[in-house]
Amino acid sequence: MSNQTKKESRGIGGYFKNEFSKFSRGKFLMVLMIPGVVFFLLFHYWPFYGLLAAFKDYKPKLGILGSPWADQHGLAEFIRFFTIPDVWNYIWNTIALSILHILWLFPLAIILALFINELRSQKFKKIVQTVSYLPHFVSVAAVCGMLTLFLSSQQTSADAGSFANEGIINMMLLKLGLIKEGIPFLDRANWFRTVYIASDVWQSIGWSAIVYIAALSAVDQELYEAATIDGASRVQKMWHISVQLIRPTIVILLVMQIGKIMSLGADKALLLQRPATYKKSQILSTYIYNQGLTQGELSFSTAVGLFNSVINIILVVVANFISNKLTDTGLW
Amino acid sequence: MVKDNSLSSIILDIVIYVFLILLMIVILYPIIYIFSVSLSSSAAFDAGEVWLWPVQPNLDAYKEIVTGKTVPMSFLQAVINTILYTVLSLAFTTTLAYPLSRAKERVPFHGLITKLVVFTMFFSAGMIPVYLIVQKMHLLNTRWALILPAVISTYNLVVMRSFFEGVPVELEEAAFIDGANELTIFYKIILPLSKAALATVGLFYGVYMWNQWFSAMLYLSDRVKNLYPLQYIIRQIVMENQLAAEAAAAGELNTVQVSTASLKYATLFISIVPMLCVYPFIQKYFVKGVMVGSVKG
Repeated sequence: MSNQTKKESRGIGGYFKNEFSKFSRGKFLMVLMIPGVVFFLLFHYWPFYGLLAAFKDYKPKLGILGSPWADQHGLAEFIRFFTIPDVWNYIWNTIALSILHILWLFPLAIILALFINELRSQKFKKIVQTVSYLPHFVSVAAVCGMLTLFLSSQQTSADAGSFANEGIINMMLLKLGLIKEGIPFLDRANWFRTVYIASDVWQSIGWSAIVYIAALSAVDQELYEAATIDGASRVQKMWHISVQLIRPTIVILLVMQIGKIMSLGADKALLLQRPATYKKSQILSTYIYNQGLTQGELSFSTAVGLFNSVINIILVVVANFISNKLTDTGLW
Repeated sequence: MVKDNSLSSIILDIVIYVFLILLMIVILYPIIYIFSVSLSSSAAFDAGEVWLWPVQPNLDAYKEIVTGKTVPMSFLQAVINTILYTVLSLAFTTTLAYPLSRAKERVPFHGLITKLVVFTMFFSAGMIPVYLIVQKMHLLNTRWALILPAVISTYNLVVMRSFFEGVPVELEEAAFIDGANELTIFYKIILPLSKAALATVGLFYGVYMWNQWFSAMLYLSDRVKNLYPLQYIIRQIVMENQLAAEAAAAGELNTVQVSTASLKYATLFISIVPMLCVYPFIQKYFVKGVMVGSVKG
């Protein structure tokens, strides 16, 4: 670090002189990097110029620079965004889904890892792991396809002889007598979060457990043996040895998840949402998609996107700060 | 491990086994059910008789799919996209990750480029500005719109870089003294030593592209239906009864004996199966890859 500041103190000229002095040997590496660097410039940095559209009344024909400013401050679209009453609802929907995701997936993945770690049969261990990774390799589109088919319902009454028009879940619930009438889950706003989170858990529990399983497998077996000699039960060992050893991993992953609370992607929600469930299923990213690319309000949705990105980076910085304080590890 | 036969230990074992077996059932049941419905007769499905195993098994749904146009075409598109994307992504990722994994003193603009790359993990311009760039580059409605904007995943780049950092520098120094240049070192020494990393990151990229549907919705209009990848078709078939409408429009109503349900389930199964056949073989590699990625994040 001190080395770097010394270099910078030589000024911008010194900086370039220093960088170019590496050329004699580094020129091949430099050439090697060109495609990757060009990619980042084109698809990550050039779009920053497009952010200007958020402050303008963007007309595709006029181009970004040619379009007039949104108002004298350029903030008209942002102001409009915050005066739409539903917006707070969309922000809350985004946060609620992220938090529920963390609350369910985190403990379950940790429990799965701890349980797998307790298995003595290597063969069974391998089978459980392989099976639990499987859903990670099923696409979101296919998962939502399954949900659509499995959760469908013609609202057949429990008294009807056949439940053939119901999806498998409703068929089961009706057969078991748990419901009186088929429930069209995906058309019910109140079921949206449950369906979304349950399928998230189904898809990610095994994959999320990998990190913990790997951390646990690195634990020195002598620790467990010493604890056994001291008379510790297995539950005690799980808690006092296993959990304590993966605690730094848990904390850093948790903090980073919290940093991503507002950056929930649009794809799954778009697949699961129906107009009847917008109240719960419209999140910021789907709103940006719908407004920008379906309604053609490019300036407005760019503004919403920018707002979202700014919140995201603030959250990540805060999360990283907390992580550094708590565990001495962070992203930087 | 020392054997423990106390009551609490036995109870713990029961809890563990019950939990894990239930979990496996919950994970596997939907996949088996899809497969069974796709093989069952429509009469059996319509009567609500399919629960776990196929009833009156037949291959009608698969025959219907294979002789149709939409699914085989989109399957082919998905295969082309996945192969092209994986190859290109690995090329772009390794060529950038390798120099960034080497000592600062050897690589011009090392620090600047690292910062440039890492920054994109935390701040992005968002969906619409990227869309406008893709539009400006005349990539809309082409295959490249699905591939190029995502050709490097910063996460995979970090994983790759961490792997390269593990390759001892002494090897390169020795080759360098023997007169090899940096490019030869990269192709002849570094890449062959990084097969595990290439397999892992290649799998991540391949899975991403095979399972991708959102970019098709963003960047492909219905003027280029032939370019739709399988996952996008899944969305349409499952959600919009597209195939049935297509058959009806083509006046094939009398030939459609298979219920649309088994067609839907069969298409779903076809979309899932390729990845399920691949991942168990690369499992030991990606476990490592996830570790590296999560630690270095």
